[in-house]
Amino acid sequence: MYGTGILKALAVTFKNALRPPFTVQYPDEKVAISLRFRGYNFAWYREKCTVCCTCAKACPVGIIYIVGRLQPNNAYYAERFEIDTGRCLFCGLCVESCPFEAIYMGREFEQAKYARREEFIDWAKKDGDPRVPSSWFRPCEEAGVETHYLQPEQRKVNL
Amino acid sequence: MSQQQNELVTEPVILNMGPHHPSTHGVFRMRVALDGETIVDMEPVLGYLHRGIEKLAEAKTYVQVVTLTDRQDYVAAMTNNMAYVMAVEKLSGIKVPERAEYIRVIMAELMRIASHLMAIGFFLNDLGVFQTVIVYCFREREKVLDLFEMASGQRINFSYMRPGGVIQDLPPQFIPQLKQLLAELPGYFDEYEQLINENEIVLARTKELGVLPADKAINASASGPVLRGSGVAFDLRKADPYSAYPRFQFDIPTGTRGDAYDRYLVRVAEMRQSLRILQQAVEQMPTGPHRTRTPWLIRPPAGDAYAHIESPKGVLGVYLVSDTGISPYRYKVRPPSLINLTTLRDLVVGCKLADCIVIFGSIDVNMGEVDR
Ligand code: SF4
Ligand code: SF4
Repeated sequence: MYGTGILKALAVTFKNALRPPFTVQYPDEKVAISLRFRGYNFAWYREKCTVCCTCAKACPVGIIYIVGRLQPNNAYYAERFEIDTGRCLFCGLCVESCPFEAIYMGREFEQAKYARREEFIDWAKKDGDPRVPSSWFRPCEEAGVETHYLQPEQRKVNL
Repeated sequence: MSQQQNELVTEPVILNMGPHHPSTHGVFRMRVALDGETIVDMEPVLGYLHRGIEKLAEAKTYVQVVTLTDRQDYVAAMTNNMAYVMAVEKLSGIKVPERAEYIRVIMAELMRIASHLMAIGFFLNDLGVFQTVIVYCFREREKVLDLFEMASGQRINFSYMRPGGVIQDLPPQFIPQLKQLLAELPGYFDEYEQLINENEIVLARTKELGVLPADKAINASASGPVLRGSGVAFDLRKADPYSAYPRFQFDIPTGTRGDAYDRYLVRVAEMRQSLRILQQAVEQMPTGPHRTRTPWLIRPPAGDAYAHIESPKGVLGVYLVSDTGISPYRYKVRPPSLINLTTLRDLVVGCKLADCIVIFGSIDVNMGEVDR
């Protein structure tokens, strides 16, 4: 009989109308994001970073700018560690390539800014701010154990 | 072309559909010549989304190119990653651990489900089932994307696979959540079938519309649901098994008439087959490493390699040429969307303008992949 298909279809839409809503009211409610979320608020640790610039070379878009200074104790000190997050792909290759586990992806996604230059963030200035590191490529973070990066005395460069 | 009828002379009207038409799935322009409401000619205009990915890849290292492959077919990024890394592995002779193969298969099949859900949703959206089906489909796709987010940290541009395996092993919650999804999804697919399959309006709009005969589909080198909808049981997962696919049992769903409705039916049936593969993959999942150690800068020996996989939209091939440098000398993609799109002109000529949108939706192209 003509129309039974439409009635069946209406039964589905009616069934779905009775289901609880799947959507969330975003600014008021937020969905939980996963531990591995590759977000924009990079967690960079000055004490681990040796200013080797591997991350800057690994970045496919070349948006990491690093200025280092050699200290009297033969370790490099990062004066600038800037990432132009407005052009970042959030691919995580910088995290993957860092030999000292000094940089982690962040777990934040609310990146909107008023001007482009505000996306240009100097993490060296923000060192010490609270950070939410992601466990992407850092499984130790997921398991809650200490990471196995080289200790500062182990990575001293003897010139 | 002009027609003389009762001394009334008519001329075809040239109408530009797109590039900013809501039903063109991106930026596709159809230059249609209309006689009344009937299409007498159609010329596709491509290139609005061209980003030069193939050229860009020549200036990136082999690992960095993975991020570019995400952006070819952005609704099925996992399969793009997979085709590319398989080509690199072939080129440089990297062995992939067993567990990585299984993770790749799981990801590829989940991606197929997500991509087909989107294809079905937009197909019905183009039909005029405005927003209802697409919101249902997006609800299920969201759950698949949650799984991707759990494993790779991103929802669209995954960059999850690397030459030699996958970047990170599955998190411990992944398999339980996947099992739960596998239990839920068949019920939702039943709902779509109840909603659409017998709906008289859908049948009237899609049956016998845009018929692509099997010989024409083969001649056009079409692949994926477009080819299988025409009744040709060709699937690379069976025809040229790669990765862990030889170990799984599944059927190749085919259509009979090759019309828009058949292509829709094939997509739903394929999603059910994907569930079957996923079920087996979860059961057989081996333990072990998820990646072989590869150098950061891969320098394959001089030569070339071609790898192809069955992506949700068809046969996705990647051709790589190496000159022993750290970046590919040439990176060429065989995009299934572009080749399926070449059949469009034959399908729409003679149809009404409103049907043209439906036929275009039934082919399921992704402009990011067409233009690259
Ligand atoms: S996430 Fe990718 S694009 Fe962003 S800074 Fe790191 S390497 Fe560069
Ligand atoms: S973040 Fe890592 S890779 Fe980048 S400069 Fe510091 S130590 Fe080197």
